[in-house]
Amino acid sequence: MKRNKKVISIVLSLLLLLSILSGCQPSSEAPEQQGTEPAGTREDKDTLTMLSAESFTGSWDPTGHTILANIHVEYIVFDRLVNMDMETLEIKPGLATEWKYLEDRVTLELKLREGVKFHDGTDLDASDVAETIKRFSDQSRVASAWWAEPILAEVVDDLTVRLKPSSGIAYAPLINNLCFTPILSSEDIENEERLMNNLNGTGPYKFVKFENEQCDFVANENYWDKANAAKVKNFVFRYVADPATRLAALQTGEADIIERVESEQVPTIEGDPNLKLLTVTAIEQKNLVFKFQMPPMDNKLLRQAISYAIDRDTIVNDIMQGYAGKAENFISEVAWGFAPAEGFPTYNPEKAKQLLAEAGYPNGEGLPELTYATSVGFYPKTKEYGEFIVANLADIGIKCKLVPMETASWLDALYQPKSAHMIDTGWMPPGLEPDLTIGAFYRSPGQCAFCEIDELNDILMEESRITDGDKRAEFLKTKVYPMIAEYVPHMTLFNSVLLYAVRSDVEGFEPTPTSAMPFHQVYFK
Amino acid sequence: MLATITRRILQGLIVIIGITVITFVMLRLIPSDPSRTMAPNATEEQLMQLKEQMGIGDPIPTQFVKYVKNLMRGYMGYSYFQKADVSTVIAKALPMSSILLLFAIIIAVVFGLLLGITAAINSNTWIDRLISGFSVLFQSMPNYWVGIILIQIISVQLKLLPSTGYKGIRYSILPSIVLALPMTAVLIRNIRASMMDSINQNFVKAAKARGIPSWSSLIKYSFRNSLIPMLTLFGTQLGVLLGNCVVVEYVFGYPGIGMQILNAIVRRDYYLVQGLVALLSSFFIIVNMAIDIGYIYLDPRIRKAQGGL
Repeated sequence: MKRNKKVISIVLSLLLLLSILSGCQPSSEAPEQQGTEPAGTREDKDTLTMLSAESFTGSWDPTGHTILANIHVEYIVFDRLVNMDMETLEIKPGLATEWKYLEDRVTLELKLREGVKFHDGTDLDASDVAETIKRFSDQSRVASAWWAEPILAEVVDDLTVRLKPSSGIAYAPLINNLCFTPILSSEDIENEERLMNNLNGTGPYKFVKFENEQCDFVANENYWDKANAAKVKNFVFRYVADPATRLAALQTGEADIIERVESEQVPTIEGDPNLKLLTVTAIEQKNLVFKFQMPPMDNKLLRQAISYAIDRDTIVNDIMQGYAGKAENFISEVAWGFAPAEGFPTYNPEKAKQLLAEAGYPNGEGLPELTYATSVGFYPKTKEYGEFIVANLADIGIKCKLVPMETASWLDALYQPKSAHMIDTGWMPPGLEPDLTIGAFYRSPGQCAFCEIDELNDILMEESRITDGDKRAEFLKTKVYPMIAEYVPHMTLFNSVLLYAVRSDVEGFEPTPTSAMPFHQVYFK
Repeated sequence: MLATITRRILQGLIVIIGITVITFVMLRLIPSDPSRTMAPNATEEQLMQLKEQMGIGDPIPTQFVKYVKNLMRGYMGYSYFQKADVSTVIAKALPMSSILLLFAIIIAVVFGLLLGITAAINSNTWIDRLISGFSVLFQSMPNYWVGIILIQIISVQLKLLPSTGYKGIRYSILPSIVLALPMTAVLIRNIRASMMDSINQNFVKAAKARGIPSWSSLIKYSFRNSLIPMLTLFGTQLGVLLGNCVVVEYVFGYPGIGMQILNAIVRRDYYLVQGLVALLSSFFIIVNMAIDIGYIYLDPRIRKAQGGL
């Protein structure tokens, strides 16, 4: 009897333990959200699965974040007033069919397309556009980083809207910025709760749900632009942090597209007949930012010396294994208005030594040890090229200590004025407009570097007022770029090359240099 | 007996409260915060606005008081990144991890016992050496590496099991195996040592001398006697298993507690980290308490010392 009691007690204890461990059974819903069938068992091809390297914020108000994963999916849920052809840089119609500057050359008038509906069934009209642009350029909104000033919006009639900078002075980037600004519903804007919990656009895909780091979308069957309607019924956008897991999922057929492929993975992809590698030179550049509020980084000659000391060719060819582009300017070669910058520093150790001496630190004498903060696990090979740059600086007599940081700490350090003497970062603006980079970095108070250079600030303001494209491009080339090269608030290390891999039956996926990801054009062969 | 259990529960509660306070303070002391990870290039004013929305705009002591008040009402807070209450996020992730842990424990216990006993019975033979060799191998291989190798062989080459995510029980098999390997190794080694020790005890020799068959004495006396240190080991190994869950879930993109906690820390999702840490520590404490109570049932000496049952 006693023995039976013992046995029963042990069995009960084990059962208790098992029940704790197993918890409740997985809900009938949750498991369905995750993953897809592995290769060989996929029954149909009505679902396109993309694995992202970056996670979502979970807050869907497009004006409340600057997170790339969110921006990627916003591109397929929302439409824009106009679109920029990424090759010809020509502006093409979107929700707006016509646009023109009024006689004052300041106010932009746009005519909207008729009969466009939001996913919730409401009609698109001029008030949606007006409220969207006001909200995006509202300087208290996070996404206003892309807008130098608030934009006033006037509804002329149901399908006509006028946009005017609040300063009353022409703002050249306005039309280019409209190429990446998603148009929201004014009813959603009125109801902030709705805006934050849902993505309601006019685009080719409708948002279904977000759960467990995965976003599900379904094709918008009533999409107004039949030629550009979604070609695959369902679209899944899922965050998978580990690059090796992303590649394995692609190899097994659990995923169709993966991003941020690492250069070491290229031979595997190229050797697999079921996979294709796609590359694109991005608008993103990798920069070494000098923190002006950390003396002696406010010394222009010291910044120049450091810039000339970095062997960028070796970084591009050897460390990045060719999967990076040689930078010739402080904006990427794919940006609107790009031209090689006059005076852009190139590797020249002798000149670097000379500049260091002129800066008051001959052979580095009298110079304190500099700190160089970098992220680990966010951008590829930051630690490797960080160590190489430290060695480059040592060659001219500059002592420098590399401080690798985990992502969140590094992000904090990046936007703090006194976190380190130098810090490296990438910058992926949502469009090809150059002001999104040079305006953000160098217009006072320049982000990350915290530079206040009056001369540079003034010339950038002047540049942003030139609405004639050719004149503006010329001004950028002859005035703006050389001045940035002189002050070097940061040194551009290289242009990013983005590597994607897709299954060989995936067609129509053409990665763009920006965060615009045209998943709706993808189909299965 | 009841007094012992009550004392252990109270001790457990104090530990959980301590862990909650430490987690709360440490999270706010490390650089960065959720507003910065959500909007890296926002201005200080915009960040302050975001902090207000996220409920982290108040001074730290005020936040702590609010947090404790909410906890008393059973509310663990809101994950701004997951757009859901912390309890909802946990309720979705917990079953996933529970399946993993359960499978891993079953695999580890079954193979640990079988191989451990086999090694003990065949001590100092080639079988013993082979099993011990595997045990060293299992324990020394990093989870991350084993995960990637298994994905390559089982998922990519043989196409037997899926490699990432969760859509059914098949998705839990590979990660469970990876999770189970180090625990299996530890169990093999300890069961072997413990059994060897018991086999040489006088009471086992006496049982043998009385003509009790060797298999019977092995199970009735040696094995049962070696269960007590095994229980202690099981408790500590469960902690290791929970820790390994983070790595394994990351490698397999498996949407369980480990993945949630990793993402929450990276994004500084304060309330979610706090909730998950409290959950994991409570789980660990409860399991250890259950093990302590298990001693009382298994060891007559302890039972006697506690006043008997």
